[in-house]
Amino acid sequence: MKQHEKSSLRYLLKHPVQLILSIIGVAIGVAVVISIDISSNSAMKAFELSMDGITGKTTHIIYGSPAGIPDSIFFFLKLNKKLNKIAPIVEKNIITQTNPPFTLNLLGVDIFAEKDFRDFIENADISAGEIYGKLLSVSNSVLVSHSFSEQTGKSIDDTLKVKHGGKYYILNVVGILKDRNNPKKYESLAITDISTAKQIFLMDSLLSRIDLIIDEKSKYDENQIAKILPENVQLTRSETRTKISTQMISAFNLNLTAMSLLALIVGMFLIYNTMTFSVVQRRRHIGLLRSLGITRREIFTTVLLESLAIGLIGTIIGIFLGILLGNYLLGLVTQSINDLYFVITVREIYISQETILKTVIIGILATVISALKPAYESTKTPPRLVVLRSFAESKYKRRRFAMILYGLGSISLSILIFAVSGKNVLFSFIGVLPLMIGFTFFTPAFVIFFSNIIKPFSKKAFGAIGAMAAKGLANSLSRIGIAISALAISLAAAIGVGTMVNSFRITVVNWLETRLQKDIYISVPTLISRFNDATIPEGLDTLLTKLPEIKNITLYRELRITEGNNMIHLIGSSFPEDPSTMYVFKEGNPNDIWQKLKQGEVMVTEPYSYRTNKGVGDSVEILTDRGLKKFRIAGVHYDYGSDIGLIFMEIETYRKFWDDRKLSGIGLFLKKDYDVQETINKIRNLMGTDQEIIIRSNKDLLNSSIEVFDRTFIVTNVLQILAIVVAFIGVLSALMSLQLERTKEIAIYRANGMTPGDIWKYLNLQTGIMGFIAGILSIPLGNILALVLIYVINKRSFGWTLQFSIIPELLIEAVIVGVISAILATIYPAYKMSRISPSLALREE
Amino acid sequence: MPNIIELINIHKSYKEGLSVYDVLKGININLTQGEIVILLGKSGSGKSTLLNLISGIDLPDKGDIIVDNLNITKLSEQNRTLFRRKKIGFIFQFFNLIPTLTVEENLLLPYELNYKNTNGFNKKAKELLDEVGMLSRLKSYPDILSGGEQQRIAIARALIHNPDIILADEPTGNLDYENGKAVINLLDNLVRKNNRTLIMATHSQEVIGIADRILQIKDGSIQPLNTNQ
Ligand SMILES: Nc1ncnc2c1ncn2[C@@H]1O[C@H](COP(=O)(O)OP(=O)(O)O)[C@@H](O)[C@H]1O
Ligand SMILES: [Mg+2]
Repeated sequence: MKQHEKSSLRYLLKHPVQLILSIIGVAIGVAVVISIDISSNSAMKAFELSMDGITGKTTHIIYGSPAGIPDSIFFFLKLNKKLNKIAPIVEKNIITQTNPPFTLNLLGVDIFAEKDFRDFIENADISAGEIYGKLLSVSNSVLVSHSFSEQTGKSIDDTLKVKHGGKYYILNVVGILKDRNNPKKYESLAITDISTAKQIFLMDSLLSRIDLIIDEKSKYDENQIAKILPENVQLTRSETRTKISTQMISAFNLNLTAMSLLALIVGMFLIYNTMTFSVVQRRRHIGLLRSLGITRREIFTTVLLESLAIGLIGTIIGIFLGILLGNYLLGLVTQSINDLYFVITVREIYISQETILKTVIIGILATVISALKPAYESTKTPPRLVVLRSFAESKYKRRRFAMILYGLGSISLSILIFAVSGKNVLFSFIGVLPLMIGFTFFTPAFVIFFSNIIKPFSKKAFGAIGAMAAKGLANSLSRIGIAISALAISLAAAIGVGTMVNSFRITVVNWLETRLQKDIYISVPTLISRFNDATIPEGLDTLLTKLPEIKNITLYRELRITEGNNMIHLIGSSFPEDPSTMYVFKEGNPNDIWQKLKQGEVMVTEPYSYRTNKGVGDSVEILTDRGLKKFRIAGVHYDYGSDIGLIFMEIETYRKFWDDRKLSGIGLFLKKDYDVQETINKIRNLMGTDQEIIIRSNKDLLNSSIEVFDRTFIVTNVLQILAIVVAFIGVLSALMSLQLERTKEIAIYRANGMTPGDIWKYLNLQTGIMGFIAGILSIPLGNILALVLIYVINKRSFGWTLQFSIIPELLIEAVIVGVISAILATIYPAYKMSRISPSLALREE
Repeated sequence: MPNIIELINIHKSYKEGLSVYDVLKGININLTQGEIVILLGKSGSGKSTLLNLISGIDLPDKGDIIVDNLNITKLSEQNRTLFRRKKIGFIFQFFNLIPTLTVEENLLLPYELNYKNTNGFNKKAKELLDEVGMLSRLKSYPDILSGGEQQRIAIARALIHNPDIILADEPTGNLDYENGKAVINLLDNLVRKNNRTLIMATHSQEVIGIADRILQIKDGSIQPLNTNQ
């Protein structure tokens, strides 16, 4: 190490508090990024693994309506066409009544067809012959995984109570599945005989799908099979099916990543802050090195190397922190995926080398980028020993208007990035950085302006010291400006995220209130909160129409289908009354949409339209029981229920194209004079107890929907809190550097007769004002950030338009947090400085 | 004998806000190798400014500075720094040792910059420290040393890389009489022994005994010495 590098390093080590704070700042920023990556990767990995267990060696899948495809197709292929590698599957999710409860994928299989497809028979810890015997002879027999058995204590000959579609069933465990190489593979899988599954899931003569293996030895190739299939089913490769599922949550993951980057950006400001301070404080030191013949370039590399060291250490610590945090977030992320998309069980985190590598690069890059400007500034230090501080300050003051121009330039750059980034969410997010930087350029002008305003008040309230505190701000702008900017940025991040979540919530609540107009909603418990696919008992609708209380009844059927390579929701619904008050349209004429729906057209949600670029007049092509059919889009409506697209059709249309008369839900309007709660009780008595049914008033449904909404935002809230923590550390470090550096100034005050108490008051008052200014500055920036999150990041991730609302509580909170954190950060330095001996002022220079 | 330093019609002014201070208004000086020159002048007369120009830290508004046949006013910032690193040894009023480096490391800094390696450093450092009487403080950090001791280290640092020119800016300004005198004697000895050129700025006349030549700077130009002052 060169001497000048050594001296710089020792300089950093001599200010351990600041050094540690900036390392922590990097560490938390990095931890947030990696933890999100780890938790969503772990979820995906668990999903893929369970898909592997289910898919086995299957190369192709025949699927049709999600309600089921006729098993006659299977018999036709197996018996008439003599396909030999073919397996019928009935598949649904069940919840076990165990401790802990598991959500299992219950796979009903034809045990004799299985050996070519899945290897669980070889891996079971009883012989193949026994499995065949038991699965066929024992009623309701099931094979469960070894890890399920270990965690729940259920083993061979035990009974297992499970729940599906609101009903309970007793299964008998007859064998344990175990894959020695890959113990997690079968974790969320249970195997039963296909006839048992058909019985449980009420799929008489229906199959969920048919698995095929098509290879060189097969009698028919892919195209030939596709041709002989009836038009109500389709053939796809098995990996396509997996891809469709994983793609479903890609927007969700992307949005989380974008949010996690916000914490990193705040962390970057922290580094910027620390490095700038350490450079400013070392002006004299650097000037000395320069006069001894150290070149600008050498100074630049030294500062950059320092930041690299901080970045590296911070990143390493951050990775460890991130793994811990990832463990915690994993539960929340999994919960959200279960609420919104599909059922997965994730019990352990998965950390790939790629994730680590990516994080190291991001962490170090972020640090170095943030240090570029301070490093560059440091080279500007004149090789002079008497650095005229007042000169630097007056230059800073004079340049404040030029800086406003730079700020506007930087903001324009971010607008440009938003404009050209199109649908690319991460690229759009990069635009946040110049936006924030742009705002920091306004700080000097604002501080001067504001300290002038506040001076008379401060003087009135706190006397001469009050006036000094306000005036002192403008006189040490070069450092104070940075600290205020850092604080404002952090507070703005908190306001931005908070406002976004609140606006989202307000939008969703409004939407739900418009949509949920019926008095009573009936459905069956489902595993995925946002997806109602379970079916209510047959005949319930006719039963209900006979009740005297009922004015009219809405039938509702929801399914998940694929359109091309996208998973979408399909809803068939009846509209007994004019529904135009329930829907708000973005495109299409609300007055004739109902007519068009009756004629067989569909309406789609905003996210669907955004993702597919389709609007009114375009059409949707989906597989029905009558083959591939096109439906014209009559309208695009606002909907916040699901970010995976949703197609809405009249239930008569649905029933015309699908051979499925089951229902997912019923909505009821009551006649006047009937009480909602009484009617609910009456229906409940009518239903008996063996079928669990959810009968809710619209208020209850509203509340439980909001509950799900809030749950999906827990992760965001955690990220927001972490961003605030990083922010607070930033403030702490900025203010501490600032204060400790003023030792000399304070010593002079002391020498001139200020008491320790005066110093204490002076410093706290001054930082309090700083916090207040930062709070005020953060209000516009925070709201602009919220606008960006809402209209750029969220819109581009999910495709929905949220109504931006200013949340006054958050703004007031920001100012209070600003003042409090500023004062908190000053306590230690103020304490130290109020004890400075005035003799210091008389020593040297 | 050829001139090692030629200052030709040097002008330098500072702007502060809208007003302009003319500090140097046409300075002409020639120095030959091995000369010891004292630059005398009141505080604020422009002595430091002149030294900064000679070392290439600053550029004149007008005029040429030729050091060892090289016009340094025509050099880039980078090359001026490299020039300074090689040719100049600086001694300051406030010693300006680097507080985070030990005495030895402070000496190593300019040595390493010039020779790119540490061969021969130990011998040279010991020799010099012995000459300034500080050999025992090799591993100390400068802030525990007294002012006089620090300045002796600073002298050793200014000489360690064998620069042709030593610039000393009020080297005794912060020392008591005894220490000041010791430092001046050291400088005198070491500079003469190695045939270096020394320019020492000072506002006191006590040190002029060692000078080959005395230049007085007043009202921005070199003026005849008025000993009655
Ligand atoms: N960087 C600077 N900016 C503005 N004025 C300066 C600067 N450096 C020196 N001066 C002014 O130039 C004059 C000469 O300063 P200096 O050369 O330091 O004098 P001396 O070293 O003789 O005491 C003084 O009036 C001083 O205020
Ligand atoms: Mg001077």
